[in-house]
Amino acid sequence: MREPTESGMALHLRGVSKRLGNDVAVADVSLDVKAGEFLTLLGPSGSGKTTSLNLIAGFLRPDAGEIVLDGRDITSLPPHKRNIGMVFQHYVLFPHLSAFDNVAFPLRERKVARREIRERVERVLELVRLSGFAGRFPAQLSGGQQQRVALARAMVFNPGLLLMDEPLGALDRKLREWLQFEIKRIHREVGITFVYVTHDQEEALVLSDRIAIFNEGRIEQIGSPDELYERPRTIFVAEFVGESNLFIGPVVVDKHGDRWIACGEDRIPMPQGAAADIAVEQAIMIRPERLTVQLSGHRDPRTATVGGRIRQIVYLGPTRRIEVEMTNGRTLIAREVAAQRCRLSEGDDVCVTWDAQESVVLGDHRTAEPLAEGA
Amino acid sequence: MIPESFNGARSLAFPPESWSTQWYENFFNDPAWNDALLTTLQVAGIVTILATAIGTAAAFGLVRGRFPGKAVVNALTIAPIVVPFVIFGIGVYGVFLAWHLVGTVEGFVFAHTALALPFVVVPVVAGVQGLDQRLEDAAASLGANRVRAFRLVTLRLLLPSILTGAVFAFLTSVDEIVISLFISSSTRRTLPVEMYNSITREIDPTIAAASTILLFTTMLLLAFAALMRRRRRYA
Repeated sequence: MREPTESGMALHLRGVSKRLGNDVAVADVSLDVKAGEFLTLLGPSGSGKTTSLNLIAGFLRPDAGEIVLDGRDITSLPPHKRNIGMVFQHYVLFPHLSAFDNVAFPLRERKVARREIRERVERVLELVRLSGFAGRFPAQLSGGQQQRVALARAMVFNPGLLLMDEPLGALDRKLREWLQFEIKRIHREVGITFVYVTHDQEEALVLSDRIAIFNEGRIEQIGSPDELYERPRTIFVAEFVGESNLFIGPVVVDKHGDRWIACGEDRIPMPQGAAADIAVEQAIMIRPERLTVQLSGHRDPRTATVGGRIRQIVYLGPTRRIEVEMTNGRTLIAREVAAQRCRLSEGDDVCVTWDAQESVVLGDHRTAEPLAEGA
Repeated sequence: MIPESFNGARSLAFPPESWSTQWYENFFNDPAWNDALLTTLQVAGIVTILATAIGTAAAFGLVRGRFPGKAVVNALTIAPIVVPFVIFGIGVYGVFLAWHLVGTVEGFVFAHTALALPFVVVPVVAGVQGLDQRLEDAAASLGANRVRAFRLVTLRLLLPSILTGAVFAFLTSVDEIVISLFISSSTRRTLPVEMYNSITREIDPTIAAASTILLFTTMLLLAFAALMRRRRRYA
């Protein structure tokens, strides 16, 4: 078996599809992962992210499409010849082998000399900070320790690509946060390409260079964490990554030529320059921290203004989360820095405003049916 | 029974008045006892190997296989324990008469293997069910081909279950008497059959020696099986 390079490898998926039973698990997915990149596949359960990972690892064969690793077509290569490291959700350590022997397993399969095995296993155990635990069996290790042994085992043979399937899913919150930073540190130190699967959007934001959002077997959007947060392209992405306030309604034009979205009784100004057909139902989104909640407000075409009543104020430490019930009955979420003194209380009639330029026009609409609305 | 086997007198009086190992000498020198012991060990040895191999393969098929009539096959595997031994014995005797297998090592091997199979299938099925199938995926991702992944991980982890099955297969064959009575001949019989014959013929403390040997073999193997099961916990 050929010994891989020290650096990460580029991975390409082209039109990959996979049917599992009667369901289309992955539908025509194309994906380019740069060498050394940390890419996360994020989506709800059943969205095709784990199936995609199993296709890359070779545990499943795609029905269509091809998978190219480091310029080599690996679509029909069996998993043991792919040289891809994999960390499983429930660790899947060999229970009959010590931590040392678990990590040595891939090196022994590659007929590495005994002394080199010892050196490399010790080095990688040091990297995951488990130097003193080489002799322990999996049953004698905590969940976090087991997961770090699994990580060491998946890295010790210098794969060009490391796959991780919800590796922190079974751990408690504190440990998870600490391991997230450990994984990020290790990624920086070893330079391997990481493809990481999770359904936890916070985890994805912390870890990733880029995130691919999966929905119903397809990639909805792929981009850096701030791109996905600041410029989501679809309602699904806007709602899945962070909290969002959505306004959906037909586009109307006033006598000055400004475009608005008619959302019940409210008129929400669209950002200038946004391309939107009149009378077509359109969705725009504003993040909670962009909102200002005031006791009184004034109307201005460049400022979006919505009236409502405060239903609840929740103190979250650094921020306050304010739920405002709009006159149409829907809820608006605002977030403000908690260091400011709170002038508001539950039950207050308020005016919620934001800079219209900060609204994001989403590319899809829930219904394609155009609504006739007086312009 | 154990003190009787060291009895110095030629009767089964209790407690023994004097001590000797003459019945053990007799057991190992008398060709009737000796042949029976050798036949038993030979049959049990082959049965253990056959039942363990077939039973392990069957267990994998029953757990992981997907085929029509799986439930029926599953039920048939444990049938030999459920069917009364006498009925099984009569059936086997009829067939073996026609096939000229009565009083042969092959005859004992076939009959005992059928009896021993469930004792292998049951623990190995439990073992395979308790095995994380992703272990083989993990081994594959680490560079082991299917055969090596199976040998180094799956089979290694099932070893305690398989050895438990093997011990019980051996004991089933060694202890079996009902069916063996049917398919024994005057020249070839197993140890339990010889013991039965001996006790109906005469009162001879050699049978106590034979019993003691059988008892200790059984206990030793059961202790071994228990040890294997304890080792499965891995520290």
